[in-house]
Amino acid sequence: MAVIEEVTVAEDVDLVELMNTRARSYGMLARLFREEVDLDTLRELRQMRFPQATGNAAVDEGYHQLYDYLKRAWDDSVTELAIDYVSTFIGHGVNGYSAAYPYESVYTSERRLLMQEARAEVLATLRENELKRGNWNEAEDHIALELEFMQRMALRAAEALSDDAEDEAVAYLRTSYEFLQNHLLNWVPMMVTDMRMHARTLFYQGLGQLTLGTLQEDEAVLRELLDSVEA
Amino acid sequence: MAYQLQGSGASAEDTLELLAFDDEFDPLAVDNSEIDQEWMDDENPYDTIDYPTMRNMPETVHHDPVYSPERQGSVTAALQALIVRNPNRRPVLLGIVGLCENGCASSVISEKVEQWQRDNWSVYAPMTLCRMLERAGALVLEMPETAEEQESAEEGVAYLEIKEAVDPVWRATPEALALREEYLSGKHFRSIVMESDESRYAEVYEAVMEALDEAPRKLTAIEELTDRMDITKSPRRFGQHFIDVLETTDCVIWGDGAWNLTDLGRAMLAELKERKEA
Repeated sequence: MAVIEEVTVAEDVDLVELMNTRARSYGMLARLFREEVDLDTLRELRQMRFPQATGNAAVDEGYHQLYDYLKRAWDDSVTELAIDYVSTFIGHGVNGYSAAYPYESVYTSERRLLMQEARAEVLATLRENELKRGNWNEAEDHIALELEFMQRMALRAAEALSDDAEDEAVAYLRTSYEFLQNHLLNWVPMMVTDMRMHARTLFYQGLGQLTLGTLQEDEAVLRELLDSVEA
Repeated sequence: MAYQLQGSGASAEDTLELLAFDDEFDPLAVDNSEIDQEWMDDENPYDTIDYPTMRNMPETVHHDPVYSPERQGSVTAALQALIVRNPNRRPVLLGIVGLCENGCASSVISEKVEQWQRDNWSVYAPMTLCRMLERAGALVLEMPETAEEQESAEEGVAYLEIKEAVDPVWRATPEALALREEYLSGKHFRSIVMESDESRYAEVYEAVMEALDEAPRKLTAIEELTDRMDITKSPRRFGQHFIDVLETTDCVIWGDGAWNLTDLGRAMLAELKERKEA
């Protein structure tokens, strides 16, 4: 699994590897939000290495919580995590406050409704980047899909850098940065606060913190990269 | 799946696809003429955050276990109810109790249950069955001590790693073992086949069990056998009836595409013959 460590963009950083690491991190987070953890994924997660001090408090807390849960996890934890996935992200109420709803629209619309303006904006961004929702029935502003968009942009940037197409890579980085600022960082902190309230396992508590910290770290990395280009 | 552990990460095809572009697209376009807010308000009274019943929603959903000593009165009663209400899982549930007589690791139970359920598929995972037995008071879970934190370092970064697999042990309670013993003693077979009106078909049961003792057989072979016997002609009794009774009393089990006589079935066959001779 990819790990977000304290990344400082120095001249000797392998940018292609950095983009691939970002892509793996986003891919992993997207997977964990998209559906419940199955046995194979649980076993893979138990093989992870958990950095102890990355320099980001949220990432550190997230990793420690995930580690604390996973070191005690066994086959039956799949059922426990499936139950917690439902209570964290779906809930049982209809008042709009019964779960950490993983949709941007819920957190950015006045009445906490699905399929609002945020979804339309994400849909437009996907279109602009020649992407569309695939084999999945959730709205485009679901956190898993937004994270996968970031994954896709990182992969494209890596490919462009490999091909020495620097301008193209910068364009992908700029798209990623804008999407991060205008969408993910605009609502995920609120969702993570709700995850603290609704998640009963350290796993989903930790996932929330890790996601928040990863987004914060990635914003800093992207800003530094773009600043160095624009300077 | 879009997630890969250490791969290239180029795997987001499931949820995001490349778009075949069309030029006519405006995601924010709304045809206001199609929206009648007054109609929506009238027709959708629930379309408001403040609807009173929503404020009264419980914070959490909780329900007590269906089969538990608290509800049924004792471990024996709870386990009995669980077994009776899940007849298809009875052999597996009793098998798990037997495995756990002296404690059994979860991984071993999982392997065995998968094997037992190969010809009798269930939506319940092995550990779900164990949890059901635990709620009924038939099993107790013993979690191992958690290992010390394992640290490693690479390129100046310190990591935590998980080195040991967690494999908790399940142990059967005395009440569960006693009830299993009762089931395996043939009490149900005797009460149905030897001590009720069904005893008039004793010779049919004997013939069916003898045939299955020779080799596992399909239902058609059993039907051929029972149809030849006069007693099954009026009132009409089909081979399926005898197999049902034998399965209910744990004397036969379905496996590898045929009916098999169990160890209990062999013991009951011997008892049936002894009784006949006496």
